[in-house]
Amino acid sequence: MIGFLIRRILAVIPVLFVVAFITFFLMKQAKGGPFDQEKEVNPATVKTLNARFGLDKPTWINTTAVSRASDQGVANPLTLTRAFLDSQFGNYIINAVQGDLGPTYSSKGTENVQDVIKRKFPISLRLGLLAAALAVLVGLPLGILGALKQNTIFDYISLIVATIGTSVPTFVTGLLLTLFLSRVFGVKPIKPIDAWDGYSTAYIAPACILGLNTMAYITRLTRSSMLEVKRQDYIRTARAKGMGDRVVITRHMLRNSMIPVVTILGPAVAGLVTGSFIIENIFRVPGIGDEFVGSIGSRDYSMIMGATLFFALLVALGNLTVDVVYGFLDPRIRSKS
Amino acid sequence: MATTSSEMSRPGQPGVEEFQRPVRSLWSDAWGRLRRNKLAMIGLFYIFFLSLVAIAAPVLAPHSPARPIGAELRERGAYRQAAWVESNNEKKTGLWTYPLGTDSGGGDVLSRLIYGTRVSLVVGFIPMIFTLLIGVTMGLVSGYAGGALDSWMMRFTDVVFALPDILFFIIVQTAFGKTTFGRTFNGLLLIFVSFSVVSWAGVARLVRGQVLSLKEKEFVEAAHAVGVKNNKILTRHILPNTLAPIIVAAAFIVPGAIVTEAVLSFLGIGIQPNTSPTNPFPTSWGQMIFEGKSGIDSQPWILISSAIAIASITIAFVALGDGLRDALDPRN
Repeated sequence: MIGFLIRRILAVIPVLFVVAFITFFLMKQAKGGPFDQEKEVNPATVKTLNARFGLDKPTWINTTAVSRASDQGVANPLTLTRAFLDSQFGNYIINAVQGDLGPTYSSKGTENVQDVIKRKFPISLRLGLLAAALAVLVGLPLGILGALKQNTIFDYISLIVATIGTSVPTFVTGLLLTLFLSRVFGVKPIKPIDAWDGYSTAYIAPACILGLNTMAYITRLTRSSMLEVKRQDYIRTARAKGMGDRVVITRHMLRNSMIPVVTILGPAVAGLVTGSFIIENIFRVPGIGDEFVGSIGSRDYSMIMGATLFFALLVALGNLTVDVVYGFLDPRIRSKS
Repeated sequence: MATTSSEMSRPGQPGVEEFQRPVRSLWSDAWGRLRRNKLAMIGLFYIFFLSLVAIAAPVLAPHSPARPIGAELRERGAYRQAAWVESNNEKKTGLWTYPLGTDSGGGDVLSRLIYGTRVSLVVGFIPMIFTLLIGVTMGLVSGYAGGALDSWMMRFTDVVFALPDILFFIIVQTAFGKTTFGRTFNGLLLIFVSFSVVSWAGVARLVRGQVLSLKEKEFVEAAHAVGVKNNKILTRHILPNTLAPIIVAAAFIVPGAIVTEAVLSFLGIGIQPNTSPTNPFPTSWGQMIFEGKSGIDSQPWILISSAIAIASITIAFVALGDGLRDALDPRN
């Protein structure tokens, strides 16, 4: 189990590195730097800004620094490697590993990306957790009900909810809900920033919409896995030996049908926490997703890079938990990989 | 079977016809099952209907999707309400000439909706084809070759699979959106490429899994024994047997791509608006949602109609995909 765990954790590193590499490469292709203003900026100012953010260094590898160091007689391979990596990308990775994602361009270097994440992420986290709770609390009973009362009105309701919920994109339902709320009840999306401190009523509408997809997915999964378990021989055995309905359902059916549901929870929560930028944009939630969308518009590359890496890390951790949970629940998986 | 054939050898016997059944292939069997699935058939007909709308858009659309200028703009009015909505302002009151009203620049919403069908279908189907091409090739080669090649290809696939896709699309759009490449076909090409580059990983995994089990089967061994070449075994024996799950996957890739375009356009970084009247892809539903959101108080029908359009097309594809999965997998 320990070996399995370590292998899984190590597999996260190349993924994050590739994400960082691709993002960095793509950001370099983008036309227009963060300091391109409408009005002409003094070239000297741009130069100081570039030097301050390390943008005057080579992009990938710094061969000049290596040759300079070896000319000076430096032979320590560690120092030479550090000089070789004294590039924009190298420095970024080295700092990122230490938890420093660099200053944001839009704040002109007064605030670091990790500080912005620290300030805004709790809001997104609360939103994501509420949505996940809602998805589980509604999705599970609906799926169970549908499977137990197959081909009745309950089953049809759960099927319709599941089909619509999984196929309609949340930004469509979100926009229609805001329209409905503002037309019928005169409720506008909430703007004041202190409305989002702690768990407040402001989260209700965005969390409901955000959780809709996952809820429908859980409903589908629960229903189909319950139906499969229902046909198993051990259920018939349990009934044959005179076990009551309630015990058969809770002890035998529910427990066995929960395995696939439990395993999707990790990536589902990660997806809800990171995938909320459109919902945040619609409901004007001042979370990290909203910040990310804003940084695209203002071409704040360090913020885009930092947020992408952070999101990728969360998604990777979500997937990691599934693998681990699966390994615990089903020993066959462990031995295979 | 034995009784049937012995009965058939005695002609003139009544009731013989009832025992004869036409030969049914896996595909006609599956089609029969799909036809009984009402939801899937409604989805299929709706998609067929939308394809007709997309092709016949210039005939069906009551007006040009482009924004009018001069006298025509004054006549249409910006943000004219839907036909059944009364307004104090005579210029805003709905007219049946513009059933769903007009947008901020006087463009007819219904005509734009009709033309938007084109983008959604193209953006759904073309990336699906690319995704399948890359994914199926990777899966076939990786699964059939095995060994070191397989393990390296799969490691690469795992990394691509783990990329947060929507973030990747956003970054690609920000990076290349303003370049010549990013402007080709109003930015559609860039969406095709970025979508296919990430989405093939799931297909590759699926196909590889199928190939791994198929290549151990007796019919492949038999083909080897009679000296069939490797590439022929792959294309003639293994590929046809993996088609069923590939088709199901394809049906779910299409709505994914449609939603991706809509999300990107909604963020203002999807396809670029093109006002030229000769352009075949002048507008998209995602773009209309984006505009409808800012005009949500002035003219809600831009948002409502495009939101319903996107919701219904994705429901149709998902219903069809579900139906295909049930039809092609007789075990369930």
